[in-house]
Amino acid sequence: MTTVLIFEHRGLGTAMPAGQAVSASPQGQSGLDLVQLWPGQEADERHALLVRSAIGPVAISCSSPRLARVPHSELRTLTPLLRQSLSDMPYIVGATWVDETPLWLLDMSRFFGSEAARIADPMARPDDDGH
Amino acid sequence: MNVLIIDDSEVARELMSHSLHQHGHRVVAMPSPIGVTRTIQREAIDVVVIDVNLPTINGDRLAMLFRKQNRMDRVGLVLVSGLDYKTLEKLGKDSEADAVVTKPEVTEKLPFAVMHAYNARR
Repeated sequence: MTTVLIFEHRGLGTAMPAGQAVSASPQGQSGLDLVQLWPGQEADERHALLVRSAIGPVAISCSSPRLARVPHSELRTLTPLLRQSLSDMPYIVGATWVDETPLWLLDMSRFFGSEAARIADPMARPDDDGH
Repeated sequence: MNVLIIDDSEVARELMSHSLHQHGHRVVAMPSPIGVTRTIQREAIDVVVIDVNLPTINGDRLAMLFRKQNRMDRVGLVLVSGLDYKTLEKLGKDSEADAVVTKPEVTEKLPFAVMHAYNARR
């Protein structure tokens, strides 16, 4: 068994190793800019989750954060086809299930910034990536 | 058996470590290859499991560098990756790795691949 933090981000159920989470606080109180892991509606995301990533601590907006224990056998890594399809989001490493609910499995040690975060940034320009 | 895992993904390291622990192996895990030669000697490592997609150096390139060192002759090498099997198999051949395992199969196949890599160097 391993402990994961489960939460909803931009409409998708998500899990990550609990050790990657630093803290969760009500949005607006953290004083941090929020990164967007993928496009989608913010909906009812009232928490800011501070997590350790490859580029240092980042904050993610989320709803319903809680800890859960998951058997190692329920942690599934992506197939090559899915890995290729999600190549611009290398921090999505697999999927798991908690209470029969499917969740994307994140590994924020593979987060080097996100395409969605750059799109969300008002200072971003179309040629920021050399295009 | 003493196994060293080099993978930048914390989730992958945990999955592989768990799988190998269950088969009675002692596991050392590192997020990057920095200091790997020293770790292999200090921990008397028998087999090294290397992720192909490391941020600092390709795992297959690292495997090639290992194979060029005489003192690594008895250390087994296993390449793991999210790539499809055919591509990974070719990388494994080119880099003289003893076995390859795709990431979705690590839980089931890694212990056997490690055993195969160990025997191949004896």
